[in-house]
Amino acid sequence: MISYEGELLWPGNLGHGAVIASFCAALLGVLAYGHALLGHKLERGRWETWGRWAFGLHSLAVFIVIGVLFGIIYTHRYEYHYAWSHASKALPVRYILSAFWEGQEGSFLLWIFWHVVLGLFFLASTGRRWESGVMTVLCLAQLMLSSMLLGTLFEIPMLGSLKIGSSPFVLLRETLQAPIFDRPDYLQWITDGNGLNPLLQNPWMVIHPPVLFLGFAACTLPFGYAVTALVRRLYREWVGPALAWTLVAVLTLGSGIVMGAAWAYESLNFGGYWAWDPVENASLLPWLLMVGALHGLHAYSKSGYSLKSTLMMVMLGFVLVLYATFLTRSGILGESSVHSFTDLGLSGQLLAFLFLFFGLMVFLLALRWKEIPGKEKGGEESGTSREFWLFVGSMTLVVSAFQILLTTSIPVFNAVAGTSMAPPADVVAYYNRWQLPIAVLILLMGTTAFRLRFGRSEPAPVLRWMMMITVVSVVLTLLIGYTQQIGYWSYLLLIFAACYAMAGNLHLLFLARKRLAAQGGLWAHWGFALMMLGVLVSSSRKEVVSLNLDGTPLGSNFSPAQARENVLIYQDQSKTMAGYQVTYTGDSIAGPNRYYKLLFQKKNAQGQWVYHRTLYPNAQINPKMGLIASPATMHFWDHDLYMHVTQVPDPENFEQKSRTYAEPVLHYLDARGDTLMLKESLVIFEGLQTRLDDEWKEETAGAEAAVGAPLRVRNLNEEFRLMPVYVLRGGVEFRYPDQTQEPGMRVELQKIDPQSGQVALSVQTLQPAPRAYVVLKMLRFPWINAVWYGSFLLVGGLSLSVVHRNRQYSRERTAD
Amino acid sequence: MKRSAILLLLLLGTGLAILVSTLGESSSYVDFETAATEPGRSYHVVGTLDRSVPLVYDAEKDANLLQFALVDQKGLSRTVVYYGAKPQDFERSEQVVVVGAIQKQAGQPTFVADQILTKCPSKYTEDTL
Repeated sequence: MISYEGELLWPGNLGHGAVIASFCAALLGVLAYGHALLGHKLERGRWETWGRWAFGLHSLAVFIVIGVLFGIIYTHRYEYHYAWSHASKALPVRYILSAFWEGQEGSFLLWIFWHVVLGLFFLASTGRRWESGVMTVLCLAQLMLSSMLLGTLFEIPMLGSLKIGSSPFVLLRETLQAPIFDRPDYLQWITDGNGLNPLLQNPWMVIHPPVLFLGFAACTLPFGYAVTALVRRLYREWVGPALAWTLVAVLTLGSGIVMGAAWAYESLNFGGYWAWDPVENASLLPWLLMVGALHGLHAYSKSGYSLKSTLMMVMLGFVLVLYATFLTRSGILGESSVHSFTDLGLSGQLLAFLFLFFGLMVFLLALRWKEIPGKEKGGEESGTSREFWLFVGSMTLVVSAFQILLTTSIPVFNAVAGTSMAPPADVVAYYNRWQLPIAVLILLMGTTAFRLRFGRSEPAPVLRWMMMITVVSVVLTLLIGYTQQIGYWSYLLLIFAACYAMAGNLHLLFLARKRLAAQGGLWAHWGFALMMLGVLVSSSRKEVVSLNLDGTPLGSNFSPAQARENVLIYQDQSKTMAGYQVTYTGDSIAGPNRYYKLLFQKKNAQGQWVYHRTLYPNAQINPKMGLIASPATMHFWDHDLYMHVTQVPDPENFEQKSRTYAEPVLHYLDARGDTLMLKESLVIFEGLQTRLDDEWKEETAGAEAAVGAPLRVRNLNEEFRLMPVYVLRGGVEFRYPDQTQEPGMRVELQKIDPQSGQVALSVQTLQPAPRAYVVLKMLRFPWINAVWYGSFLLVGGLSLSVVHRNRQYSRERTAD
Repeated sequence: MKRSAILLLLLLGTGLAILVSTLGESSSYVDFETAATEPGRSYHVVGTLDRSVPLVYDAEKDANLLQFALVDQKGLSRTVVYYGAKPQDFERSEQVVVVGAIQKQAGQPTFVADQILTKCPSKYTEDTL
C-alpha cells in the first residue's frame, strides 16, 4: 500500500457521499410522494411533507455535488480523473463551464440541476393539487439520473458484480494503469490535464448545452401532469398547468436546438447549420412531439377534443427525451454519426430509464383508456372547426417525428436484429424528400386554422380569405422563384406555403393589432414560415464559390460540381472567388489557434481592386486531433460568404527542415565576360581576373596559376558580389568556392579551358523554401438571415405565449 | 365513414409508407466484393487504411484528389478515390467508412467515395498518460 503525496481526497469523498445522499433522498421522495399520490386522501398532507423534506435534502446534496466537481475542475486537481480528462491549465475560465459538462457525468449533473431548479420553482409556485403526482415523477427521474453517477459496484450472489453508474469523483490512479502510479509522488509529475476538446471551446458551447438540458428537464413536468391526470382522473383540470409547462419546454428546447444550429454554423466546418445528424435529430424528436402536444392541449382546452392523442403526445415527448439520451450516450450510433461518443457502460441503465417511463405511460393509458372522455356532445367535430385542424396538424408533426425516428434508429435495428443496414447514402436528400411535403402541409394548415373558429366556422368568408392570401402568395412565390432561379416545383411549393403562411399570419396580426402581445401563436407561426423560407433558399441555392477549375479534369462520369470544391492559394498570391480577389497574406497565432489572414478586394467603379475586408478563418493544428478548422463568415443582409481552411502545410515543415543545396550544375561561360540566366537570378561574369588582391596572398603563394571569377549576382531587388578562385600549385588544383547567404548560391570555378577561352562554373542553388499555402473551401448562403430572424421570431412568439399563458393561468386560479 | 376514421387510415398509410421507404432506401454496410457486383450503386464500406500502399495527397498538385487503399472487413484491399480535401487527421484514423460506388476507371475497378467518415483515436476520449 502506497501512501500518496499531495492528493486532496476529502472533496472526492464529500462529492461521492453527496451523490449517494442525493440518490437516497430521491428514493425517499419517490416513496413519500408516491404514497401521497396513491394513498388515502387523509394521509396525503403528511406524506407530502415527507416528500418535500426529501426533495429539499436531495436539492442540497445536488448543489454540493455540483460545487465540489466545479471546484475540482477550477482548481485543477488532476488527481481526479474528471478534471484531468476535461480540463487543462491553459483553459480560459469561461470554458471551465464547458469542461464541466463535456463529460457524460457532468451533463447528467446539468440535467439533474435543472430538475432541481424546476422542482423548487414548481413547489414554490404551483398549487398543492398537483404536487404529489408531478413530484413523484420528478423524483423518479432524479432517482434514475443520480444512479448514473453512483459508480458503485454491487455484488449480487450468483450473477456476479454489477456496476451502477459512473462517478465523476474517481481518482486518476483508480482509472488508469500506469507505472507512474507506483511512485508516492506521482502527482507532481502530472502537470497538466488532457484539455477540453477544441471544438467545444466556443461561446456557443458554453450556453447551448445548458439551454438544451433545461428543455429536456422541462419535458418532465408535462409528463408529471399527465400522470397525475390519469391517476387522479383530473382530465379537465390538468390542461391549464400542463399547457404552461409544455410551452416552457417547447420554448427552451427550441432555443437550445437553434443555438446548437448556430454553433454548428459558426464553428464547425460541415458547411451549414443542420445536417440531419443523429445527435441533432435526437433533440429535434422530443421537440416535435412537444409542439404536437402543445397544439393538442390547446385544442382540448377550448373544445374538449382529442384528449387521448394529446395525453400520448405529452408523454411520448418525455419518453423521446429518454430515447435521445439513450441514442447519444450508449455508443450505439457508432459510425453513423460524426460525433464521437464514449460508452461509459451505462447502456443498461439508460435502457432501464427509458423502459421504466415508457412502461409507466403504457400502463396508465391502458388502465384508463376506456374512461378517458372523448368529445362530450358526441357526434362529429366539424371540418370547419379550428380544433379539427389543430388535431390534423399535430398528427402531421407526429408523422414527421416518426420518419426521423425510423431513419435515426437504423443502428438500433442493426443492434437488435443483427442486420447491417446503413442510412441512405444521401441522407440529407432522403430526409428532405419526406420533410418538405410535411412542412408544406404544416405551413398551409397552421395558417388557415387561425382563420377558423373553435366549434364551427362559416365557410364562405374563410374561403374568400384563403383566395386572397393565395393570390398574394402566388405573386410572391413567382417573384422569389424568378429572382433566386428556383426551378423545382417541390421547392416552389414550399416557397408558396411559406409565403402563404407569412402573408396570412401578417394579415391576422394586422387584424389583431390592438392586442399584439397576446398573439404569441401568430408571431411564432410567422417566424416558422420565415425560417422555412430561409432554409429552402439557403440550402437549395447554396453555392460553392471556391470551385477549383484548374485541377485535372474529371472523367465523364462526374459533373465538375460534384467535387473539386477546394482551392489552393499560396502566400501572397490571390484567386478570384465570388467577385472578390482573395489574397492569402500570412497567418498569426493566438492561443491554440492559428488564424489565416485572407484579404478580400473588390473592384470599384473605375475597375480597380480596392480593399474590402479581411477574414480570419482559423484552425487548430492540434497535436492530439490534427487539423480542426473553424470557419469565418462575411455577413451581408441577403447572404453570407462562409469559408474555412481544409488543408494547411504542417507548420513544422517550415521550422525544422534545414535547407540543402541542390546538385551542382556546370555552366560554361566566355572567359572574357558573360552573363548567365538562372531561375531566380542573373549572374554577370566580368571576365577572368588574373591579378588577385592581397587577401589571397597566402593561397596564391608559389602558385603556377591563380585566377578569380568576379561575379555580380542580381536578383529581384538586390545585388551581391562573388569571387570564386582557382589556384594551381605544384600541379595540384585548389578551388576556393564562394557563396551568398541570401539568394542561396554557391559557385566554384571548376575549370579553365584556354583553347576555347571558356571557364566552367559549378553553380549550386539552395532548394526552394517550402511555400506557405492554404487550401480553402468557400460557400455562399443566400437568405441565411431569414433562418435566424425566423427563429428569433419563433422563440419570441413562444416567449410571448409563455407570459400570456401564465397571466391567464394565474387569473384562472384566483378565480377558482 | 367518420372523418376520424379516414384520418386514422391516412395516418397508418403514411406510417407504413415511411417504414417501407426507410427499409427500401437504406444503404447497407458491405465489403468491396458486394459493392463490385453492382457498379454505380451507392454503398457504405467499413474498413481500415491499407498502410502498405502509399497514400496520395498533394495539396500543391491537386487539392481535390485523395487516393488511398482501404482494407475492408474481409481483408480485401481496394483503391479509393475521393475528389476533395484530405479529411482532418486522416492517416491516424482507426476506422474509415467510405460512402460511394465502384466505378470502372481505366479498366480497373476503383471505389469513388462521395463521403468519408473517420473515427479517430482522439486523446480526448482516450485514457493514456
